[in-house]
Amino acid sequence: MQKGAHIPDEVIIDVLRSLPAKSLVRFKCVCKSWLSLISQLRYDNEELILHTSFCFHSIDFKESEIKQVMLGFPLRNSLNSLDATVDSTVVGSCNGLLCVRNRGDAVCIWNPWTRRYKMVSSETKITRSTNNSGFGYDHSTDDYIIVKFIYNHERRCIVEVYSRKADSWFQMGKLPQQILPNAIVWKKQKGLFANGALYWHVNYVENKDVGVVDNILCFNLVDRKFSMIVPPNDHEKKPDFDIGVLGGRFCMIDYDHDCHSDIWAWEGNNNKKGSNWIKLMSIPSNNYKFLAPVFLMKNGEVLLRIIEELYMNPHARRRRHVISLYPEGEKKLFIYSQKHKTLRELTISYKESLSNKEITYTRSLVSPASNDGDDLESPLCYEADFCRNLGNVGVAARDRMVEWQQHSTTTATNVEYKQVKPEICEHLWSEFGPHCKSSTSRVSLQWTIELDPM
Amino acid sequence: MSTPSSSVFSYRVLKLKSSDGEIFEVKQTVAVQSGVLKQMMEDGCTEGEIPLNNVDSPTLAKIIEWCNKHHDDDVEGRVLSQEKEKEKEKADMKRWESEFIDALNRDELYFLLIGSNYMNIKELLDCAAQKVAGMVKGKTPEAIREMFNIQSDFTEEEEKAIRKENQWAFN
Repeated sequence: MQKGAHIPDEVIIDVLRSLPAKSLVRFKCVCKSWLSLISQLRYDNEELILHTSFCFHSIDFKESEIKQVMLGFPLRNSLNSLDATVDSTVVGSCNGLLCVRNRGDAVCIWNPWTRRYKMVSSETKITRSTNNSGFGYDHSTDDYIIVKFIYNHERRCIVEVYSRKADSWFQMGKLPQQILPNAIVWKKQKGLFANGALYWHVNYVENKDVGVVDNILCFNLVDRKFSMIVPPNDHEKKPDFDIGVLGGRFCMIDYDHDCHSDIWAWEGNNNKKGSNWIKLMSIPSNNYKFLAPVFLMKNGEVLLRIIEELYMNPHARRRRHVISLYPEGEKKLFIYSQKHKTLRELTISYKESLSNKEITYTRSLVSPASNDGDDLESPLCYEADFCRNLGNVGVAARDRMVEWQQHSTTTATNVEYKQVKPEICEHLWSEFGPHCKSSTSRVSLQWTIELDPM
Repeated sequence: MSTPSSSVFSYRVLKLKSSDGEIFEVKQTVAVQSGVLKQMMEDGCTEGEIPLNNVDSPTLAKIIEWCNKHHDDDVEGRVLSQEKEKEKEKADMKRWESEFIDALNRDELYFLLIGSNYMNIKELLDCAAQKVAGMVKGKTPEAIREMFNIQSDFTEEEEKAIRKENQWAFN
């Protein structure tokens, strides 16, 4: 730059904000001021993502459409079998890191934006763990924590905690005494992370006289202790509620009203008895009574979903009427406007089986590993599965490609595309299919995705 | 201006004085895109020449060109009959913007960044920042220092440590 003009820091920040992760990390060594600007860079756009077993979708609310972010899940590549990794699930999301687990119980911590991941060291496998793990951040020690529950041979629930810093698992964190360790039922699959703690919605047998209790189990990541949270005071004996996180606050939604549901935010244990919950809003139920909060949008609107037990469990008789709301290929979400006090539907169409769980995610440059060089690169590629039996091009691949871009001369692994059209798929298949590693009926072809790796 | 009420203001002009002393006359309805000028108008202190000490005349000319092109868009009451027409207009504007930005050389672009930041014209600032980001991405740290005329203030060891810590980004 000439003439000694000085570009102010706020302008540099504007430029840095539009850069891809790899460039940013590299520019940390330009000078001290850039290092400091990059380290302090915060992205305030919390995104809502849905995922299949191998790729991400971020939701574009304006268009009511799913934007595809085709990122290869790291675990898919590390295990060489297609089938073993089919149901990679996201255990939790925090500070731009996702904790991903596959059916084979392999776990990794992954930053999808920098595409770095770190395998979590395997632990003694007494038995398979439950599906109720949780992932969160302990700000007091700057550590990322995974909590999981394992049933031992006596069907007793054991808690294991992983610390990223120590890179190992510890058996710790006794469940609260009132829970008989063999009588806990998890209402929600994964632990929810909010302000330094993980939360689960559980049923448990308190003691043989009282019977089943519906409550919230909380694990404080700082003191590594469990506690029970009792729903707000004005609850009836048999509460009917669900839990969620809105704008970083742990919330519960209380269905025990005829025409509305109340959303309460948990303010922590510090307050005097009874004042730990703050009522955020009342949502008109309309015809849909069982909506759970998922996401607080920038404009203050709240995104809700129909809780999945409704259609997962046809035996839950009182909720059965809701099942029909889920036609195939559509996902129905609801948006509540606090300003206008109205509830409106948002229908998202999709072409494949999405996970029921919505995940909130904010990009960051946080490294998944605490030691240098301890992390690996996740595949930029998204592997489209081509099934010859289905007529050359698999349905999944066909639907997500729009426009052929370039480099048709290279081998299949270097094919670049920018959303490719079905015809192009056919073309690609005829060109590259024969070069791919093939199993008896299934061939996997790698696509380099439209993501800037620079 | 399509509505009579706004026409009262549309012919009122502000006199902007660039750092090198040139005077530019700008309609208030155009100048309102600048957060700084808008604030001054609201405070009623736009009499006489408004000195813009951080913006030289070529840059100010560019900024005014941008604002003139964009000011029509927000006029209330102008209803485009067809969605398609709207789409087309949007696309045309996008094209115009990229041509506008692409025509600048590096120094002009930097001064535009600084000027639009100084005058608080968000859209222009975003557009220019995007362009700069496109120019720097993928570059080496050395190239960045050259582009922005930055001297590294790291010791050799410090720089080595950062590189080691983030080895993957340098491959």
